[in-house]
Amino acid sequence: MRRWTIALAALGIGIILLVGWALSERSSRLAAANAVEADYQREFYDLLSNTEQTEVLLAKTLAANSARQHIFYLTEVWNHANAAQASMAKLPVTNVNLSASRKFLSQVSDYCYSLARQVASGRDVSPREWGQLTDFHTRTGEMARDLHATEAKMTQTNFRWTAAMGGGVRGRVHAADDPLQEFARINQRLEQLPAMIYDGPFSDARLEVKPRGLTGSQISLDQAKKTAVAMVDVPGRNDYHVTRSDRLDNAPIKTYSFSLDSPSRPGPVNLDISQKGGHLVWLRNNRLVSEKKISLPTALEKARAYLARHGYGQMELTGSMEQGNTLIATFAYANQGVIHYPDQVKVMVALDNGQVTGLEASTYLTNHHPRNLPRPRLNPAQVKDGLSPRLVAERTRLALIPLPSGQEALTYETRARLKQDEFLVYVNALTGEEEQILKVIKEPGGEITM
Amino acid sequence: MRRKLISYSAFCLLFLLLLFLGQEPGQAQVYSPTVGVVRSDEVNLLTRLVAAEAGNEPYSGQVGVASVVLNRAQHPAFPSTVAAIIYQPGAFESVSNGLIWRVSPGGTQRRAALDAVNGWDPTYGSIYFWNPAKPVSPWIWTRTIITQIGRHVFAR
Repeated sequence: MRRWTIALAALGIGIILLVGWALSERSSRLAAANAVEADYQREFYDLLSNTEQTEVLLAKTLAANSARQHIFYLTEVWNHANAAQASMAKLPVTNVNLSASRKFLSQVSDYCYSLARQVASGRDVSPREWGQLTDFHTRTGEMARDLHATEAKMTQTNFRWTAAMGGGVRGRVHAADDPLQEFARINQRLEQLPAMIYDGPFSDARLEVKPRGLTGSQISLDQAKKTAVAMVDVPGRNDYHVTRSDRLDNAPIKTYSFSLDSPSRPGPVNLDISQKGGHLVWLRNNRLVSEKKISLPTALEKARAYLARHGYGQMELTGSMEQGNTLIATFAYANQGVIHYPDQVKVMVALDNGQVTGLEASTYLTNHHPRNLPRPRLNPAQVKDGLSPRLVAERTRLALIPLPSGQEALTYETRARLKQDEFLVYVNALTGEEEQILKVIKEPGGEITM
Repeated sequence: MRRKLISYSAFCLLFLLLLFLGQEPGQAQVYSPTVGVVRSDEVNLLTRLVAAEAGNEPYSGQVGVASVVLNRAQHPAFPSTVAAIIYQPGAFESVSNGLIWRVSPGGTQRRAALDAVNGWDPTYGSIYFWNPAKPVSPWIWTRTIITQIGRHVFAR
């Protein structure tokens, strides 16, 4: 009898503990789920209010009539449209593809930023640009209106993002009442937008760049195969053979793609040869690099020799970085004392035996073309005089740089110091305006710029 | 007596003035060199994603996955940072199922991430990749396929 009581009591305590544990587990799970739900709800309301703000600020830009106000409002549009895009990308809408909506918001933001810079540099908004801003205003207005409709439906149906993700609640809701349907409508309207061409990094023109550096005639797969084997940097006998070849007809640079193997060497080596002209677009030897045995100057010499052998004679070293016993050296085309940053090639040299294990020339092949550079109107002394008084200038040279707009500018590049920090200041060689400032960041194996 | 007081207060004023001049706010702020910029965070994130999405793929396929993330950062339809792209809801299967936090990336994945950061892009600007053997949303097939590396198709 007593044994039974003890057993029952133990069972009772066990059940109580189990229920207690289950309850606490459930409440912590609920707390986590609610935190996630709250994040999504906030992002949605942020998207809504930033879209609204964008509409209002575009209207104010159209209403304002002074350059200063235009700059203020345009930079605010830049901010709010950007924030709206970021919030939209954080929403778990996965069964409707929202790319067109996100692209639209990015382009509104980017366009207004470019325009603000243009007005700041003294060039007024053109009639065509006013037309574009008017169109943005109408479209962001429609988007804000539809997001409000979505919000109303969400409130009515007590919508939960986390439930919609699992498909749980959605089944019970009529399609017409599904708040996410509004997103599909918003996106559909923006899918038919014509290409947006303007001076900015997100312009549609920048997404479809045609390579300008491909010279020569079309080559056949067999010719490309021969070139491929010749490109592998092997001291002595080259016993590599092609194990895979592919045609990349849809790539911006149409290529033949190869994989090479050798019975006596670790591999493989991957490389792409352009169909037009048989240029080496990139090469990568996948072997592991062992202990460092050769010096940096020797490695740089190997890189230069490899470039010269493959048709890149006029190249100047612009930076180098050591990474895991491999040297990554960046070269740019140099002509008549002007360094051409858009025409850039990267070479990797293994520091165990000095073999070139990598090349990246797609940037060069995309940008390189004969240019007629203007004569500089400033001299280096004038440039140094115009620098910030906080900077101590070191050396100055002529450099052609790519601008965010996609155009190029002839500038003086001055390396300068602010205490221990180094900067590269680019001053337009024709107008004397500061075009860009890069900050040199020292990393363990070398330096990068930002 | 009164004269003494005046000269005393004049002395005090001068002292205070000197004190103020000595602590001119413009001089107190000295430029300190930048310490907070390193790229290792991006490389760490990319390494993990490569391990989780393409751990068993050929090397250039691993670089390709990292390239897709970096190409998205330059594309208007996507967020602009590596973290925002990787953690975009529904964007990567390995984030949705948590694999990205369970993998232990090796040196190869790290090299692949670094190669992509250094500018090697075997996918020529692709912004999508998928495994054609697995079920995917039919919409994805409307994209222009650039290349196939290993089991993954890369597209723009």
